[in-house]
Amino acid sequence: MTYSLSYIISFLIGFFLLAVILRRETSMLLSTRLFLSMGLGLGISAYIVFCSFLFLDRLDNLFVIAGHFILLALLVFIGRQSFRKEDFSLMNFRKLKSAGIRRVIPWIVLAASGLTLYLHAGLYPLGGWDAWSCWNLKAKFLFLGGADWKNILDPALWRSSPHYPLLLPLVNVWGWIWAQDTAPIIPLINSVLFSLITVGLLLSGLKMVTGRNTPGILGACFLITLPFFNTLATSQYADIVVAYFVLAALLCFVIAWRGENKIFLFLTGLFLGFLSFSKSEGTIAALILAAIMTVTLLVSRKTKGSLGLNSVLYFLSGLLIASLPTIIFQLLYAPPNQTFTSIFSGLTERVGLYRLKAIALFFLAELTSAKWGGIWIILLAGMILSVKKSLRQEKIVFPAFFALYGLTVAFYYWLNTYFEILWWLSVSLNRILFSLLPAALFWILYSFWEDNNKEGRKA
Amino acid sequence: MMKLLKVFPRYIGLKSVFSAIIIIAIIINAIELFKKTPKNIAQRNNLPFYFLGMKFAGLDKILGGVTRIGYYTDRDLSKNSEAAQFSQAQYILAPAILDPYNLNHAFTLFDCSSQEKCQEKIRASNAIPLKKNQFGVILAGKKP
Repeated sequence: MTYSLSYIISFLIGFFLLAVILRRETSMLLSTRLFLSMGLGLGISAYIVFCSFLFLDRLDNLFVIAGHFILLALLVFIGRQSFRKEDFSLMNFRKLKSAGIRRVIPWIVLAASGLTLYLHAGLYPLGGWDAWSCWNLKAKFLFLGGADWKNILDPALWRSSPHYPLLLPLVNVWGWIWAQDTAPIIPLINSVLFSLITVGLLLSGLKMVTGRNTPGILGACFLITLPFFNTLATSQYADIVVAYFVLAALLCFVIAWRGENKIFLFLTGLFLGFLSFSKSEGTIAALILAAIMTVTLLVSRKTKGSLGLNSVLYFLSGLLIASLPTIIFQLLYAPPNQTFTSIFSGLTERVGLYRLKAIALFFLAELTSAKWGGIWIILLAGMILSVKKSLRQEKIVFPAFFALYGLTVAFYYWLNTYFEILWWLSVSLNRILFSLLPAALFWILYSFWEDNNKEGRKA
Repeated sequence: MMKLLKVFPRYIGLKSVFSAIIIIAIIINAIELFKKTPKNIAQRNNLPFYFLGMKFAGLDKILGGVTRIGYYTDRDLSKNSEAAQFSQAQYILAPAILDPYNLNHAFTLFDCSSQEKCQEKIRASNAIPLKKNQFGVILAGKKP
């Protein structure tokens, strides 16, 4: 059980880093703080492990563990004065008693989510296809490969997509360092943990921006009762990591906007940086989100007024810091994508048109597929019903992102003729939609339950 | 349509309607989940999880620090089940890289549909069988 230390250390690093970033004057729901801390901490752990490969050209357990403890000590020292009593209102049992059952329901939902996810994860303890052919395989090379760790980039391993960024494998390696071998329990726990903090962030994030528990409970229950969500979330793929960081970045952006607090823009940038290192799709999503958010900030009157023009700098500096591993990986290590053949190399009008039709029809079929339990149709109905609210101000970032990301993905499906299009769509499109689902739920539920009177409330 | 949307909230709150739709969907999904999950767990208890790659377990100990080995099979790797087995073998034997159909490495794994086919290929490739495991997978070394 020593591996549980890896999670405790990562959480504490995330917790104290958040305290240092937010400082005393910024208030935040304790639950949101907890779920952001865990994701932030795991991201930083991955980056410390990456530093071992970058500076020592191999995995050095001592370097990684010492790096964690030094960083933690530093953050505790700097952040010890950064907590406010009211941030820990959960610990206030008198308040808890007076609030009654309502206050406990979200935690019951979360506990039930944990149980459901754990049961699903146990069905396939070694995960789905991409777990052993890609993500956990990379982690094994990193953990056992010694000086030959770069073999993960070898063209012979084209089935494992050597060009993919390494955040999830590095998180797995961090757990294995404490387990002292390649224990399958670590990737399993990581998939359950990322799923749980995604559900938790949806719950607490909606409570934070609407002031009510109802939308968060509805969103979390909707996600966790979907058998398909459970299966994919616990498959040990990086898609749940993408889903978490997309949601975390968008939530921090909304909090920054509503509370006119630019420090949350720095956090938004950090989460986008982590997103860029999670998967190639995550890199594209991070680039699109970064562009949309920068433009939104630049053209908004709020930036010229209360948020201040330097808010863009806060956002971009967070983004640059957390994107460094992605930039380094792309510049120094990432091989070209071997599973790419441009449509232009053998373009015929017929092929181009056939692929276009197939993609459009498949998007439609996937969104209405029974495995989603009607969630996309309901979300679309929700968007139409709340059209005025859901496209207003900072919320415009959501549809702009979904539209641009959807178009980019569709264009890539059309452009890359390496795979047979119907097979490729059938194995990958559901995962792309899965990674957007928590953020889409957040957007629609937030639009419905937004309390306009509280818009100016400080975060 | 827009007029209807404007009038509608006066009678029933849109929020309530939307909540009701979500709650109905949650109930339907939950019923499905409660039906499926215990059934899947019972099925898993009766039929324990089997990882095709386990066929190759233990061979990694003999390979020591070898970083690249050949892999030969007479099965069609473009088929799903065969591709899965190959990927799982790669996972079990990592950090060694399996090089499919390349018989020029110092070590090669022979995983054939029959022992005869394996032996024939080993002879033809001028290799010596070093170890055969209980699943019929043969590790062969190149003759000096």
